[in-house]
Amino acid sequence: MTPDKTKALSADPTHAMEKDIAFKVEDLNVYYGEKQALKKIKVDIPTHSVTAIIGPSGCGKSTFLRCLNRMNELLPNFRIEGEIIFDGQNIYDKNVDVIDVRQRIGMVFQKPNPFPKSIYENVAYGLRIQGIKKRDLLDNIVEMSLKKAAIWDEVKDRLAHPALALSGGQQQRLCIARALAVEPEVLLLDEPTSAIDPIATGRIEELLRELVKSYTIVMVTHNMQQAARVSGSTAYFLLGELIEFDETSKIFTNPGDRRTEDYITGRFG
Amino acid sequence: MTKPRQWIERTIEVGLFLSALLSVLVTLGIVGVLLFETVGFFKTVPLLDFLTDTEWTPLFSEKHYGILPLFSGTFLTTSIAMAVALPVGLISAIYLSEYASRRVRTILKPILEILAAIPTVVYGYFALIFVTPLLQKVIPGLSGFNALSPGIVMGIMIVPIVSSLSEDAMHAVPAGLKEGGYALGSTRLQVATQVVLPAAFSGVVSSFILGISRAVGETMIVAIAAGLQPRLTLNPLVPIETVTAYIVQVSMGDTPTGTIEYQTIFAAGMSLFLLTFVLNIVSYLLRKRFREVYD
Ligand SMILES: Nc1ncnc2c1ncn2[C@@H]1O[C@H](COP(=O)(O)OP(=O)(O)O)[C@@H](O)[C@H]1O
Ligand SMILES: [Mg+2]
Repeated sequence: MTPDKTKALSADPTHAMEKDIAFKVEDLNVYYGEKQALKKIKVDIPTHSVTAIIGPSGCGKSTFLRCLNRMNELLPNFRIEGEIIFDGQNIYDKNVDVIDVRQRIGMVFQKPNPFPKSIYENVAYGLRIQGIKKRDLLDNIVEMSLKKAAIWDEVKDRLAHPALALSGGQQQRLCIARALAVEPEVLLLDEPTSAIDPIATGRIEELLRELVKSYTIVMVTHNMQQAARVSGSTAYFLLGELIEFDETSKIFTNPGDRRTEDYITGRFG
Repeated sequence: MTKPRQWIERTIEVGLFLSALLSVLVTLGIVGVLLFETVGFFKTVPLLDFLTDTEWTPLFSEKHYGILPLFSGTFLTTSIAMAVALPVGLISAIYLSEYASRRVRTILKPILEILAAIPTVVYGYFALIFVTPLLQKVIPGLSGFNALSPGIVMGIMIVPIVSSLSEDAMHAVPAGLKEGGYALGSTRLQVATQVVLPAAFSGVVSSFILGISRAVGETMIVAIAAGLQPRLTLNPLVPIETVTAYIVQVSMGDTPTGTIEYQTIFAAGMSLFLLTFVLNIVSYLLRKRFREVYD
């Protein structure tokens, strides 16, 4: 596999590492019951860039991503050590409101999961639970979010239709619009294109290239070409450890670790 | 080689078909008997009288055959029961499905379901000799027999029907949908009421309708505690009689077969059957209308 360097996303890939830091992860250990899923992770994730997380199945990619907006806490046997500093504060600090964390750090899942409501109500959901009721304000934000998610033209005439009637790729863009509606600073995506077809995948990648201008994006992907196409930096995980983190162009052309090289050249995983 | 096996398969198939046929035939038989006797009844009593007369006194010398008093009794006790069972059942379901830990759920759910396993005659006397006197302390005008007390007790009995089926429906909502809610900054209550509940809507409505059917059909509790006095009223504090209680009252007496008194049971039973039949159809339509497709 030869990744196409010219398509790498970051506005200036060679300086990706010098950008501001969105997440400063320090000595992160994560356990599910007795089993340790992440080991001593230390990494600085840059702002306004797409960071790709790659690695074989079960190596802890999703676990890591879900630590960044405290989604893992919903699991009963989950335990975490270490710090994740976001906006100057450890998001796991006792006095941090988890609701606030999740509003500022949005998430899109592997399988599109629109609510069984109308297209409009899906996007308006996050605003409604914040108590926003004014119709014109809702209308505005819904339209803006659908436009940002590049799905407005396809759904503008049927906002009242059920979201579940959309195609898989449209549902996923709707989920992105839904996440954008609450105006997060970060978008976390867990293999957002693994359940949809190649054309829809292309549209979402295009969308991510657009969104990264205003958002910090962290994306788990199974697809190394995708990481090469859209990300500015890449983290390679293996068996719960962060093996290597660097600019995507460097990871794919001149990896610093033998195990990374084995993985990206397809000798493993 | 495969002959004996095919033969066994065939036998099983026929056996299963015959069992299914048997239950269909039994149902048809019941409806047939109901229809036959009901037709006999309407040869004596005009349908219009049956539907509009405001008195039901077939066992008295001055006979009236208006079904409305019995229907008002059924309506009253059912409404009271559902006013108890819907909120309590739904809240229990939300608690069990969205809040309780797995351990709490495995303990609480069977306990709740025991409520549905208590013989209704026990509930009946519970209403008559415990709940009614208790209510009389708060409501001075309450008769010894009334719709309120058996209605409330019936509601308690129906709580597990509503909670158990609603909880099953809510439990079946995909975890991914709930995560979608949490990821947008929802609280648990918001996820429960605004993501899970709408997604489980058809199941929840079915549980409501099943609860209503159960209340409409309930006999023993109302026969014991509501008074056996047909009365066209919506006052929950006075003695009334439900359709079912009337049927059991006549069945327990020594009414000779073929008389008009005897046929009233079937006319009342037919009305009840039509009512629950309509409820079932409504439930089916709602389920079809609101079924959400998850793959
Ligand atoms: N809820 C859970 N309970 C127990 N173990 C889990 C749970 N979720 C994930 N794991 C385990 O943690 C490890 C990492 O999983 P995950 O983060 O999902 O990997 P990936 O996304 O890279 O495939 C795996 O070994 C997996 O079996
Ligand atoms: Mg994963």
